[in-house]
Order: sequence, then C-alpha cells, then structure tokens
Amino acid sequence: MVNEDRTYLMTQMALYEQKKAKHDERIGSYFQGDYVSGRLLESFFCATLLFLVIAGVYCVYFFEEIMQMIYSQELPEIVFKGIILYVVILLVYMLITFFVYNRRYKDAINDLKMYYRALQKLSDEYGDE
Amino acid sequence: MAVFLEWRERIADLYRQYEIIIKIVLKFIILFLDVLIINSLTGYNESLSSILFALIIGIIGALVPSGLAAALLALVVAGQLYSLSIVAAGAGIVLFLLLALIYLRFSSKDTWIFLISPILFAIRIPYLLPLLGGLLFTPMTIIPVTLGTMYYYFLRYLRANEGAVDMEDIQQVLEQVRFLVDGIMKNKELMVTVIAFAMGLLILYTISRRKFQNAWPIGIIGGAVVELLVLIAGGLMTGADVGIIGPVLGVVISCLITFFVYLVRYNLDYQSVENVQFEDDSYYYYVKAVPKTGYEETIVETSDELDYFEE
Repeated sequence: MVNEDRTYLMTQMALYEQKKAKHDERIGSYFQGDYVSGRLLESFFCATLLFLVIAGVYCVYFFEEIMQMIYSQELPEIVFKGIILYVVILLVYMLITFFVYNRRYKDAINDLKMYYRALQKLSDEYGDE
Repeated sequence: MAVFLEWRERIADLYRQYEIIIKIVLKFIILFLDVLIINSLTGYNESLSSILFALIIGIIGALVPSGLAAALLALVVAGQLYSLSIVAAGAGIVLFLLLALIYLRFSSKDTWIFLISPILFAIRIPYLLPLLGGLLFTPMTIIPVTLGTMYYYFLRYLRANEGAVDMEDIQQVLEQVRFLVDGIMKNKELMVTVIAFAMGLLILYTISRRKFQNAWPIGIIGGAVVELLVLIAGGLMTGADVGIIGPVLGVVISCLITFFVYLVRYNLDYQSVENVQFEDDSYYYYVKAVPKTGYEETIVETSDELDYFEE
C-alpha cells in the first residue's frame, strides 16, 4: 500500500533535486567566506571594466577640455576625481555583490539542510519497517 | 467560466507535453524577429541583412542561455554598425557592456525582457515592457527595460543621422562620439520614455505585491495609468515628441495583454505544474504535482518560490 505522507515527502525532494539541488550543492561545496570572496574578486574586475568603459566614453567626449586641463597643469585634479569615481563604483559594486551572494549562499545552505533532514527522515521511516 | 476552465486544461496539457520544444521555438521566433528588426533599422551590411543569417542567429540563440543570446544580438548590431562607422559599432558594444556589467552579472532571469524590446518597439507597444517587468519580475527589471529602450532609440537615431557618423579622421571620431553620446543623453523623448517606463513598473510592482483583494488588477491598471500620464505630461513639459494617440492606444493594448499574461501566469499557473519520477523498494512513482489554483486564493496568495519542504 502506498504511504501518502512518504509519497508527498519524496515528491518534494524529487522536485528540489530536479530544480535546485545541483546549483545548491555547488554553492554548498564552498565555505561561506570562500564563496563570497570569490564572487567579490570577480566583481572587482567587472567594476574596473565598468569604470574603464565610463571613463573612456567620458575622456573621448570631453577630450578637448581634458587636453586644456593638462596644458594648464590641472591634471592632478581630474585624476583625483577619476580615482574618487572609481572607488565609489567599486564600493557600490562590491557591496551589492556582498549582499546578493551572501543571501544566495544562506538560501542554498538552508535548502540543502532541509533536504538532508528530509532524507534522514525518509531513511529512518524505511529503517523502521 | 466553464469554457475558460476547459481551455485552460487543454492549453496546460499541451504546454506540459511539449514544454521544452515550445520554449525553444518561442526563443527562436523572438531572436529571428529581433535580427530582422535590427536589420531593417540598420541594414548597413548586406551579408548580415539576409534572412538566412537571421535564421542562423535565431537557431543558435534558441539553444543558448538568454544572456548569451543577448550578447549575440549585440554582436549583430555591432557588425551592422561597423559597416557604417567603427565608432557607432563601439557605441553599440558599450551599451551592451553596460547591460552585462550592471545587470547580467547579478541576474539573468529576466533577460528576455531585453530580448523582446525590439519586437515591441517595432509593433508600437513598447509600453508592455514595464508592465510585464512589474508583473513578472522585480524593480531591478528597470535596468534591462531601460537599456532595451536606449538600444532602440540609439539605432533609430543613427538611422536618422547616417551621414553624421560616416567620417574617418581622428578629429571627426571625437565629433562622432560626442554626437552619439548627445543622441542618447540629450534625447528628451528617450528620457521621458525611460522615466515613464520606470514609474509604471514601480507602481505596478508596489501595488500588486500588497495584501489586499484585487491587488494585482489594480496594480496593472495603476501602472498603466501612471506610465501613460508620465509619458504625456513629460512630453508636454519637455516638448518631446511622444504623441498622444499612439501612447493611449499602445498603453490600452499593453494593459489588455498584461491582464492576459496575469491570467495565464497566476491562474493557469503552467510553470508550477511539475512532473517528477522516483522509486523506493516497493514502487515506481510517476507524480504530476499540480498547484491548487482557486481563483480568489491565487489573487491574495501568490508565491514565485516553490516550497520544497514543510518544517
């Protein structure tokens, strides 16, 4: 005779395996610090590229004004502004990355824990028979 | 209602049966139409403008993830623009890089909003973009909606000013860059449209996620009305040529389509129907998990996430 509760539990587990388990296990194979710092490192390069794209367009757009600033010894000022912009972009990007990937890690670990708990429960039920 | 329910079941069965094929075919159609529209807007390179090329891109795009499909489209645009001017091609790539670095890095679930934007602009109902974004996704969808809109206006601007970017020496390259940046940043129509889309999306999202009766329909109408009002008011205030009859008709049609999508997504709930199979020592189980779709209940309680386990 089919056990309804057990079928329900196995269905939930099979759905999880089908949809998210592989993704969550990949995340769960890291420690939280390693996972998030790896994503932060990727974001460092992305933020730098983003800054270079914006700065490149800005420099070409204001090419003549920048050349005049160079001639009038105002280069340090614009370089300083550029560095400030870079730091701001980097900080915002890193903060978003930190929150997004921390949340993803916690969600994945929570789902994995519940999955293993369900697995244990199922194993116990079969063991009792 | 009985007829509606009967059709609901028939369509749901059909969808479940051929889900993978339907998704691939839809993606192919979207990519194919995108390339045709891009080619009709640009058409600077003859070999890239052929239907065969559009078919090839459609097929490849249908088989790869949405983010890669978007990159493929960006390459098509860049290839077309390269025949006009290297600066224009560079500008096309910069626009895509902004999308990839600001948005795709964190989420690529709603990239298809970006992919359908050329089609909706071509059939004159781009007002549907923010409504779908607010209905199905999160406020972050403002980013692909905005960049899809910028891409379209950028190509239209280039088409209207082909001669101005057809230059070669270095001084003229600087002129071209200024011309293109001004074409995007100082385009009042584009700015009004982007603000209207963002407001419509935010209003729809905010109202529809509240817990009160009929929050979703009220959210859809609210989002559409705000979008329309901002468009018309923005057009009058800035002198941008957004028109009145076009947006009114477009928003009404978009609103109706959004209602249809709402009915399909939240009442027919195709996506949540799951087929799984597993076995234990005694049985093989073939389970079809169909969510309960009580009409009143789904309006008040909707969840994008599947609860896999109960505590």
